[in-house]
Amino acid sequence: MADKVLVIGGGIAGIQSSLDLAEAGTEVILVEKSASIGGKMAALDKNFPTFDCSICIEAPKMSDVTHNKNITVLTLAEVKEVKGTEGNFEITINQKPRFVTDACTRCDLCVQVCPQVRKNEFDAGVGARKAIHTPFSQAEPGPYVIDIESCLNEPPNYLPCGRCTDACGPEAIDFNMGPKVIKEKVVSIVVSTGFDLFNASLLHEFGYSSDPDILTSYELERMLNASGPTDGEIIKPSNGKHPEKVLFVLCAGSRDERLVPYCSRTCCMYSIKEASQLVEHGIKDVTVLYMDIRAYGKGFDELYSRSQKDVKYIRSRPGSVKRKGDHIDVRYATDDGSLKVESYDMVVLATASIPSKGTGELAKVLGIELSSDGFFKNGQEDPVSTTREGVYVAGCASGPKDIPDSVTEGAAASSKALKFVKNREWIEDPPPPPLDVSGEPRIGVFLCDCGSNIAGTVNVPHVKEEIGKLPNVVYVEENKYTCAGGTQDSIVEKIKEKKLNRVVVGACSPKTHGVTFQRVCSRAGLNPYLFEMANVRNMDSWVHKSEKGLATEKAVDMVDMAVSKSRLLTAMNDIEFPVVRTGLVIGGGPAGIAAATSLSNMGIETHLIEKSDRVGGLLNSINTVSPSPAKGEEILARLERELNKSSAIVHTSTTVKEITGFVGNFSATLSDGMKIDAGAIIIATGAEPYQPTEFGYGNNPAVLTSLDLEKDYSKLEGEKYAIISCVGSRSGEKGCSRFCCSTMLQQAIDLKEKGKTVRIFYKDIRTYERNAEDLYRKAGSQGVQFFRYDPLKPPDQSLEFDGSSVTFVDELSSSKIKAPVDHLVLNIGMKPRAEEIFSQLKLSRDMEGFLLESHPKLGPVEAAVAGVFLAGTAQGPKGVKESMAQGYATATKAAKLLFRGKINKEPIIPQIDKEKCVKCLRCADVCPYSAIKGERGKWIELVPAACMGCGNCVAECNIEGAISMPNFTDSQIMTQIDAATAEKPEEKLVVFACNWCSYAGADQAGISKIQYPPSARVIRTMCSSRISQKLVMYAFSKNPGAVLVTGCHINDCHYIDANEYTEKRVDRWKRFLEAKKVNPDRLQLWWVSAAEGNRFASKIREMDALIKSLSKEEIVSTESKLKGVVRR
Amino acid sequence: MGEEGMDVRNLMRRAQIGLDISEKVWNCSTCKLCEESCPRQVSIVNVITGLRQLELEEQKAPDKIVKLLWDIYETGNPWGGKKGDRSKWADGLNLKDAKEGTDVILYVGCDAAYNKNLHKSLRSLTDIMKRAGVNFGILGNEEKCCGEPIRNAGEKYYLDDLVHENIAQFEKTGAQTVVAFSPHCGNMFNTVYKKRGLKMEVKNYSEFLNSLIRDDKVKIENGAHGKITIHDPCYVSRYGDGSEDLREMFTLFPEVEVKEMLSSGKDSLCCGGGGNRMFIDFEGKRLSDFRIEQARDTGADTVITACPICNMNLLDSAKINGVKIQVKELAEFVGENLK
Repeated sequence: MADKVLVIGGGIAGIQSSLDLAEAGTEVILVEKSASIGGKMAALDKNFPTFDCSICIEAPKMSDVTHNKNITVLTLAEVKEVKGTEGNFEITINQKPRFVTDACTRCDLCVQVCPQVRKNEFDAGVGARKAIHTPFSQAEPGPYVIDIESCLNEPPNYLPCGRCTDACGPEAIDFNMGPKVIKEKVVSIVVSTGFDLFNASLLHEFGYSSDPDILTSYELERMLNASGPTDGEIIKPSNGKHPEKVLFVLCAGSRDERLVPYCSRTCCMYSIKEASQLVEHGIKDVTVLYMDIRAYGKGFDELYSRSQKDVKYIRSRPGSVKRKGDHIDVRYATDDGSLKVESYDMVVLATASIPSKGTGELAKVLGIELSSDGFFKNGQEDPVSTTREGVYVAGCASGPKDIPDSVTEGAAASSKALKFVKNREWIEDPPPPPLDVSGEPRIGVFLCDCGSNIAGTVNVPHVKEEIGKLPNVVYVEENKYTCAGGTQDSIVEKIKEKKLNRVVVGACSPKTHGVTFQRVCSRAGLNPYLFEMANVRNMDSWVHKSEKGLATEKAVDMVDMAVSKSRLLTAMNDIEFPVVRTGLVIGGGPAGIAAATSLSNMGIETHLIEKSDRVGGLLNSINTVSPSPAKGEEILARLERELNKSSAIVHTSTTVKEITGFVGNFSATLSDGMKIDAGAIIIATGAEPYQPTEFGYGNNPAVLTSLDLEKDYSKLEGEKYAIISCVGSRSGEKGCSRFCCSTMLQQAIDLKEKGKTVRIFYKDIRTYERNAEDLYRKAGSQGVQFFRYDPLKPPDQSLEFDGSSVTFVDELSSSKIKAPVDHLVLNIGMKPRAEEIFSQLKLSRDMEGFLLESHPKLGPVEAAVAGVFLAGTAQGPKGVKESMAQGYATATKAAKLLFRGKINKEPIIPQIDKEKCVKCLRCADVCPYSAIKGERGKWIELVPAACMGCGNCVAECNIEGAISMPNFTDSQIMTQIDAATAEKPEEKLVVFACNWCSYAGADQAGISKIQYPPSARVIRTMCSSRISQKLVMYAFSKNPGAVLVTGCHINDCHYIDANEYTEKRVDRWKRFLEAKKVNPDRLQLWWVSAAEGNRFASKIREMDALIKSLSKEEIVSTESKLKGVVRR
Repeated sequence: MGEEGMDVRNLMRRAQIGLDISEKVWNCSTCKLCEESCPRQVSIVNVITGLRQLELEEQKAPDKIVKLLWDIYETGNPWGGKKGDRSKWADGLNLKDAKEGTDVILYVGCDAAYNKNLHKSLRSLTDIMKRAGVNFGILGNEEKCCGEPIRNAGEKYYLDDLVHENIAQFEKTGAQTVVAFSPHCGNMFNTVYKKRGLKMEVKNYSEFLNSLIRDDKVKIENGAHGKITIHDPCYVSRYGDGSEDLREMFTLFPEVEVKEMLSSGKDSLCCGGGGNRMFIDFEGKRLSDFRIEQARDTGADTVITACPICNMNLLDSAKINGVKIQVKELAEFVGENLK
């Protein structure tokens, strides 16, 4: 039996922690206070800065949690008692009754008859719910819940109202359910109880409770959400009309001595995001009032500057917000001293994050302390410790933070919790016996109404009728919600009953729901690769709302395409690889030490490679680790002590010369000749301090960097100091370096305490971290003077330095000032390192050159390359505590890979027919992962574990049948083309889309309900580089109006640089078409990111117009022009 | 101050870097609205008072401020009124001299004592106090300025002398309570005086009056009718936390409808008279002009206040702007409606 870990709180941090622990072989008890896991992230519309649909990326994780047999989810539950010590806690959990059993099919009939209406907490009270309800449509666990406080019944004895019970077919409602007391033994505890939002009524000057058109950001977020209370319409609650002029007010409650003194850390960015979304909604006049813009994360500054095109940013704070007639009058003063009174239709307050309700009681139960900010206190200088061993904290329970930082901490807390786990087990249901799938295809088709999402536009019964006529289709069914738990069960039954050997679902996106239905197939014993999906909702009903007839025709085509492909699907099994149970950590700074210590403490052989003669990295040369009061050397001493206590093998004065291999099976050669085989690699190679050239640094001894100041603190003479922030950060491609503002403030305070005069020149003060705002306040009250310079210009263009004084324009007093200076301190940020191992491992870099994570929100410490993890400043500039958190998080990620001892992989990797293959190695040359080995003309071998499945090799090969890509074979794609062009081909646009960006972008167009012409027929492949000349020419031979190849933007490719091959090929094919007298404009290439629904839609509009401009004769002659070049 | 309001950030920055502030620093009415919404909780009014002190020391204060100081020194009031006229309002009322030994001192203050428009309110108040059986007295012509204008002028040393003198005078009477007609004086007693050793209980008259009514010491005839609005004086609402005292008693009048102005309570707009602004000339639209418009916009026929400075300013603005609204002290309203 596996050891158990308790996770308290089921928001994204708790979800991540639970999944990591479970995948590392631990049993997890996840206790959630509300009726569903998901936390605040589930309520958000989109995430910054990526504009990912929040629930769309969280729901798969939520579903993973409830389906993982190692995790027990207890909702409506609270931890009441904790006894014992680390390694041996006895816990008592009280669980309230749900009154609805697992038999619930989420059909919603009970809700329709329930007479009790209440404000929906999930919608921040903007929307309503019934006493029986589901918090939101993707809630997990799935059964509805009865809020017994508002129910007319008072179980168990007084049950006057039986409406829901009567309406419920499966008899899922049980008023006899009572509260439960659950006792468990666990070895460690992770606390991830999140945060609450500040009550905006307490800010009297912002008038929140006095006016319906003064909203909180959370309320607006729900309004922006397509499934929110207004179906995504932005309306003024006062009269239901669209606002034309909207004001966002930042720091509503935060950074305010009276209320919440700390920075809430996410409000700047979500407000920028919401403001941009309003612009997308057609609201032209959007203004943001801010104190400082704290765009400290990766891509944050970029979003901020992008949004400045449409959104006005004014540095100010309203003195009063008051209704005047139709408008809300807002008074504020600007930096130039003028007082403005502006009228707005709507005002949105970015309210502070505060400790979640019950934090104090839980602290008592757990025996841990709170900090003065009311959140759980960190016992050590790392962000996941509490004041008690065995109890760890993650996410906003230890202070506000954004999703990637919460996710990182979820994994980091798990790494500490895993130290106590001795017994591991991976609990799985035995798979059902596999069905016999030989013989003719017997296809079952399940068509989803998605409520009215599909059925409101598409005539589903007609689609059902048409699809029923297709060959091999033996069963068609229409469902209200095909994905509902009950329908899933009935699909399992139908597969068995009708002896189906192929399943097609016509519903939403395979990206969000493909895995769900593959699992359904597996449950019936049907091989999951015999499943195909048609994305009718996102790519048809949502985007052709006013063209119902054409949308229905398109739906028939789309399902036909899926049915056609399904005929050619073959059963496949995941590939299993063994894993070398050794971890390799490269780089011995705080991140690397944390990773190595943690990983070896879990019992895994771990090597730490450090190039210098002692570990510690930059911690060796800095003392200021603000906002932490501890000094650099103290933190380093503790880290070293822990490292020495662990069994990690430390290699100092050593570098890694070469790394080969792939996930589970890497091989590293060290500079001393030693070879280490490792299953996982943690890259913690750090960053370099920026080397300034500005202000004559290097030539003038009066000019120092913040790093120089760390060295010679005591020796410095001179009385007057000027500190200039953002030197080498925040300009051009260079983003915010995160840690420097609080370093600067601590140095300013230290200088001030020595009696020096200190002036700070800054763009924004970004003291976003826990306790950092206190430094800002302290520096100000000690008399440090702050002057803002033009945030749009580099510092050396805003400030003049003549060697002994700084001259600048002070906007506030509108005067030009010359301040004498003895020492000019350049507050420098970080720049990326370039290591050879990065290219050996095919690691991608971001715009700035730091290592790129696999997903900016949910995969912050994973590289896109499997088995490689990123910790510390190699991934991006950050402070010591944040680096340590990433170090711990990567230890967890590595551990769950290594403990399992084996890895599974989708079998979407090419198959080489060695008889037909001539071993020319063109495929090997274009493989972004060097997964194909061989010798020209002699031999060839594919390394399955290294292959990521883009299909670039297949497109490159021109030997018919020598290499093919399962699940995306030539014949499968061609049969989709056939189905797409069966009727009126000359009106149609064949679109090839890549799984990661352009297909997701098309999905996004649907989510955003961006309307475009219904001529496009989309064929999904993993990467645009899979599309070959053969496929494009085959498509043209069917006389379609045009062909569009789409993919990720250059540098965004999920297969490193595979899309650059697409670009070259499309160029070549256009020339080829021209030579064949086919108008080359009919073939186009277009990059679309996952966020760019608009860009996808506008290109389809453009291509549709192009098709309409062509004569029918021209189009139908294509086939004959291409005669002889098309292969089948 | 005028329409543009006062740019506090600008003033602070100029002071911080040593630029001239003499034009701006006397604009502040010490209304404290800025502090109400200051997220850093800076004691802005104290900073401004400190800056005024520096200005005064450097002899950069306006002439009228200097004159005011001399006036108080010579006559005990900033208005230049004669010492002997201070208790003229009480002629014929036969009020006790506080020296004779009373429970309560009614501290009249210079503004009401030397401004005829307020004498009626003073008489109303003493009438109510008598009827309530309060054993009170006044300091008569021996009453001296509380020192608020001196503090506002930034003059520390003279203020110290005066405060000590007044404390001694108050304590000699043996009274336990001092009731201030002007909340400006009340605030001085509660802060500066208490810091320097005043032991007595201090109340603004609005608070005192409300407690008399609440404790049933005076009986109200509830027949009054009409619409009123309430102007919260800064020194009652923001300094004194006394907005409720201004409102509570109106629940006793079923026929009186209370209409709130655009801003009220702790949010209230200042009349513009505090911080010695009564003694300096300003150009442009005055704060009390805005305030009287806000009062007019409620549709009320009467604006109630409880501060002599507010009273004077609102009355002026109503007259100058031709706004048809009565300006009335709370004491006067209550006095008119006694059983």
